[in-house]
Amino acid sequence: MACDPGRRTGGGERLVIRRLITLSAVGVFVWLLLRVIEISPSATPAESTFMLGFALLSAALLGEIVEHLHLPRITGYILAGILFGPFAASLLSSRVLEPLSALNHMAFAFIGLAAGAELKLAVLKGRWRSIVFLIVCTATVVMIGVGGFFFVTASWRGFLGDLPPLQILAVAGMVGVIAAARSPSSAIAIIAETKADGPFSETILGVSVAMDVVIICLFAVATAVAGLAFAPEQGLDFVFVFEVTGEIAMSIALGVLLGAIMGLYLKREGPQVSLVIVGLCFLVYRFSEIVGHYLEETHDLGVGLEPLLICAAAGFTIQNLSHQGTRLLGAMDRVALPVYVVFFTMAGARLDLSALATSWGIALAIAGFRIAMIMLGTRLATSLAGDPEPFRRYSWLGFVTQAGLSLALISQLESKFPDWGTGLVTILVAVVAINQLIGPVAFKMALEKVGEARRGSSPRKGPS
Amino acid sequence: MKALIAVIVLTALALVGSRRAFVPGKLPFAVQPFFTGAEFIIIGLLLGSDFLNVIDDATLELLRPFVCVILGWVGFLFGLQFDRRTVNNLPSGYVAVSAVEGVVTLATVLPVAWYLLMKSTNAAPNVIAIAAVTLAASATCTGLTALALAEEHGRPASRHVMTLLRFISSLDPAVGVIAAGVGLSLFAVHPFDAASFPMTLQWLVISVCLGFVTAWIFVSLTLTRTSQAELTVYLLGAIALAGGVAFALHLSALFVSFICGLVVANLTHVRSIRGRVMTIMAHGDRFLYLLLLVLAGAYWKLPDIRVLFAALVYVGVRLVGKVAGGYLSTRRLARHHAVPPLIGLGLVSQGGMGLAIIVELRLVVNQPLTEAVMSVAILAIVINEFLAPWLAIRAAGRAGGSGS
Repeated sequence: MACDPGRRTGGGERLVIRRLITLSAVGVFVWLLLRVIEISPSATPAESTFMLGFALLSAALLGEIVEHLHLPRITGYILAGILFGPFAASLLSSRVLEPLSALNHMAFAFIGLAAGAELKLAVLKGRWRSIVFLIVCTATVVMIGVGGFFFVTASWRGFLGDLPPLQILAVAGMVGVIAAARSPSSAIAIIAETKADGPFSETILGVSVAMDVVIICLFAVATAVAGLAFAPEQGLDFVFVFEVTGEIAMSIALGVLLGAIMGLYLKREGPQVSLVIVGLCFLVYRFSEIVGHYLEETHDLGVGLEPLLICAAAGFTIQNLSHQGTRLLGAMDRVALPVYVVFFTMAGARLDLSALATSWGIALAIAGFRIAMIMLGTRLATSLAGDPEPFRRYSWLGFVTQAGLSLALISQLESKFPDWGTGLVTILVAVVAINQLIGPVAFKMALEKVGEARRGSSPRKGPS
Repeated sequence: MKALIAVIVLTALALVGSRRAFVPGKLPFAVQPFFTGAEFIIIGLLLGSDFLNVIDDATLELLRPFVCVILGWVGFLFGLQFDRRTVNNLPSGYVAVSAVEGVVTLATVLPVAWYLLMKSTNAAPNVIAIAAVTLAASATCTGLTALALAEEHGRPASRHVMTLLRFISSLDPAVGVIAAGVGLSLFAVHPFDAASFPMTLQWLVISVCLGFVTAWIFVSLTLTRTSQAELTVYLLGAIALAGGVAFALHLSALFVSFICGLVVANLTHVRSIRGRVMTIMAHGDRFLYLLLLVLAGAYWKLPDIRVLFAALVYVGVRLVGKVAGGYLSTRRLARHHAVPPLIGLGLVSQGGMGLAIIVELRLVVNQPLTEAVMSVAILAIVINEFLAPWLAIRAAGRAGGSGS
């Protein structure tokens, strides 16, 4: 993700024009090729490889272009996904992306490892008050605020059909939990891009990673309560809560074990560390998938392992217990940019723009209210923790982005409540789309405002 | 579950191998020829569907995009070595010697392979043609491992002869890559008859153009100062694009990315980029090469006795081609230096490029004949790797230890 300090010369506009010309040329080249290649109903591996190449090039180009507009590169990658994805140019169609889904999951696990490795216990110890207050206050305020807002608008606009108020309240509880979710992957990508280093970025990252665990637990509780509201005769489904708790505990334990092994490998200066890390992330994803299938088939359990948690715990262990964090982060840095490009481009291509088009009004209102609640929650938390003024003023900007976890929870909601879930999903996916687009921009701005973004990382500051 | 085990085993093998393999001198010479890289093919065969079935057909299908990228990587890296300035600095006549040797080998193997395939199979003419061209193209390639072993364990040999052998081994795969590219362009999916021949030529032009276009894209991206991370993204993007497009059009990914690397290497303003790209590529080169060896083994179907016979014939004809090519190509040099007439014996190792050409055939033209051809070629590669160190010592020894 790192940029060469001073790589930009004065001709920023010329560079942007050049990049736009190259991007257009690449787009036309691929478009022409797609006219020649016989399109099959299911994409061949060759087609997917070729579109992977196109995605890498186009996203990297757009990333550079938006960087000159003072936006984060990942916004460019997401835009590339949207622009060439199924809802616009349709070059990166879901048919083509499907064979590359393993790559996407691997990238997700990689980002988890990086996030864990960035969490330094020594720094976190000094920031624990802020972290705890931020988690508790923002989670509470956002859940109650957005949940309440949803309850009022849903009752008023009636987009949940004729559900009784108690059931609407139960749904609002789940929506509130989903609204409190953040995106550690975006946070780590922006931190890596801006080479940010300091208490602010550490705190935001620490809160984002820890919040993932909290949100998974809270969602389990909210789903159990909703189940009670919808089918009171069945009683409270505590089994699901225990399953989720077990899933988190198992994931963390496995992550610690993996971290210890990887730490030994790094200590002994094993070869090809970057490639081993990529392979390891792929294995974690596949292993989690296999365990999930196994538990579902043999014990009828709808839970599995969480690759992001496993990798975050492994990264944390390597950084803080085996003290090989610097080596790990150095090796990851060598392969990080391609991973981020692939991950965020695919995320952009998967953004459901049709959902945004049909429910942009209510989605915008929820997204706006969510941001207001995050502002309120962070202000409260930073005041209670006694944080300095820049923290109080800009912390909220670090918590706007939503991505993978939110979408996963939304799909769970749809599968658990198929009768009315689909309509709600459209609105919630649209909210996530808005947050995914504005969140990285907001966080980059915050890092620049608090002075933790390194000077060389920003095009306007780079000496020639 | 199998895919998971396969990936674990593959990663572990490539990791262990990338540290342990191809390091001469650790084992006695009599044992070394068993560990020149061919052992990874055997491991792949054992892990494949004919034995343990750990790397089954579904896993191979899952890994196909990755194999596309590996082949593109191999071709690009090879093309990148043909920087005009570097080639001009080579000792006089070495490029011509390598080219002539490669062409003679190709010309020796091609008609024999074509004739035998026509007589022994009833496959479509274009499939026979592509199989014969690929066998011949793979036969022209020479690996360097056997020479390293020969230098380590052999008698004091002529330094000039060893240098010449090393240069030929480094350069003659170009003939193979070009032949494979031409072969796939002309015959891979198109009817093979005189009337349609001019039409099929367009695919050769398209292959070359694809190489140029992807090179242009890569070069235009590197015109401004780029960080190493950005360069890695552009490199991977260009390789995946070139390799993927080539496969999607049933063309040679090796050839297209070879052209791409060649063009990138020879554009004046990207010379500084060339070194940086080489550094990036060198980082994963051995790891990817070992993966290719294991995957080739997994693609390999259990050979029957006919395959063994065909492989022996192939080894024999290739040996004749190499010896003839070595002899004919070095006649001019022999006026000034002591060059043994059987210098071709030092070129028996078939190397990674020969294997990559065969793997590519299997991916582009998935037919029973190409499966059989792959089995023949891989078995021949294993035999050649085993014979090569001894023959290389013999070839170098014939120079009389002049040390010139």
